[in-house]
Amino acid sequence: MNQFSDEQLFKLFQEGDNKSFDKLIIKYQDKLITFIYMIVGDIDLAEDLAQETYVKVITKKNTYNETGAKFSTWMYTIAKNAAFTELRKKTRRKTDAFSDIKKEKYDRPGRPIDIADTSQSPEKKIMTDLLRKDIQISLSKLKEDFRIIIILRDIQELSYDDISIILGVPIGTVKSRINRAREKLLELLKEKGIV
Amino acid sequence: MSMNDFEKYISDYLDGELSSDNVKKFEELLNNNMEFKKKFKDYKKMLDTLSNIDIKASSDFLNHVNEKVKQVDLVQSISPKTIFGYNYIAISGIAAAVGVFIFSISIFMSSESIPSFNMKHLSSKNVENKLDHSPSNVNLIAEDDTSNENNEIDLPKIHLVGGKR
Repeated sequence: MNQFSDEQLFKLFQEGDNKSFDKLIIKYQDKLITFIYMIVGDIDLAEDLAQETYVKVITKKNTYNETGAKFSTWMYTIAKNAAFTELRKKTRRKTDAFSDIKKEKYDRPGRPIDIADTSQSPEKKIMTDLLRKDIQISLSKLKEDFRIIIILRDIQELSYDDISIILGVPIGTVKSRINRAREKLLELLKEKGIV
Repeated sequence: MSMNDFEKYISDYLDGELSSDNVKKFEELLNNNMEFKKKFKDYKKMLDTLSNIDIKASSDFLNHVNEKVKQVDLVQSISPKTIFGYNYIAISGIAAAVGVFIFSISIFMSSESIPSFNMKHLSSKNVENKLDHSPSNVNLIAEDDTSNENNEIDLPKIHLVGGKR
C-alpha cells in the first residue's frame, strides 16, 4: 500500500511535500479521535482536538527529530497533553447542569461510530454507541494514570515501549499499571453488565 | 499458583509477555480451576470489546485541518515580527521609555552640579571695567557681582587673584 514509513513521510513533509502529511492525517485520524474521545468523553470535542493536534504537529514540524522518537508516539504525546488540558478545563466548567445536555448533543447516535462493522443496522449502531459511552464512563472513573494506560494499550493497541515513551515512565511501571488498571476496569464493567 | 499469582500473570499472558515456563503453569491452572477460567473469559471479553472501539472521523476532517492550518499561517503572517520573543512595537516602547528615563536623569544631575550664578556679571567687559576703576591696581582683578544686593543669602564671594596687565 504505502512504501514509506511514518517517519519517512514526515521527513518528506518537512522538506515541503504537503501531500505526505495528508497521508499521515488520513492514516491516524480515526485512531486519534478515538483516543481523545476516551479521555474527554465528547465526540465533537475529540474531533476538534484531533484537528488541533495535527495543526500543532504541522506548526512544530521542525522540532521533530526523526532519530529521536517515532512519529506516532510524538503525535500521541501532543494529543494526550491537549486532551488532558481540555479535560481539566471541562472539569472546572462542569459545575453547571448544561454539561450533561451538551454531552447528549455531541454524542448523537447518527454519527459513524462503529465497533468493527460499518454496515450495521440503526439499532445495532445505537447499541454500539451506548456501549462505547458506557465504556468511556467506566474509564473516566479510573485514576488518570490507569485510564490513559488502558486507552493506549487496549484500545490503541500500542506496544509497551511506545507507551513508556508517551507517558515518560519505565516499562516496568507500564506493566504494573496495566495489571492494576485492567483489574479495576473489569470490576466497573461488570457492575454495568458489560462483561 | 494462587489467585494473586493468577491476577499478576493474566495481563502478561494476554499480552504475550509471560515466559514459556510460566505460560505452562498458567495454562495448567486455567484448565483446572473454574474460577480462574471464568475470570480469564471476562478479561478476554473486556479486551476484545476495548480493541474493537473505533470512531470514524467526519468526511471533511482533512479539509478542517487544512483550514485551521491556513488560519494559523494567516495569524502568524499578520502578527508583529519579533526579536528574542518580543515584538517590534514592544521593543520600541521599551527603548523610548529607557531614553526618556536617561534624559530625565541627565537633566536632574546637571541641574544639581551648576550653581546659579548670574554669568553676565562675570563677562570680560565687566571685569575690565572693574579693573580700570579699581583703587588698587594690585591683586584684585574681579569680584563676584552675583545678584544678591540685599545680602539675604550668604553667597560665597569669588575672587580672581592676579596682577594687572
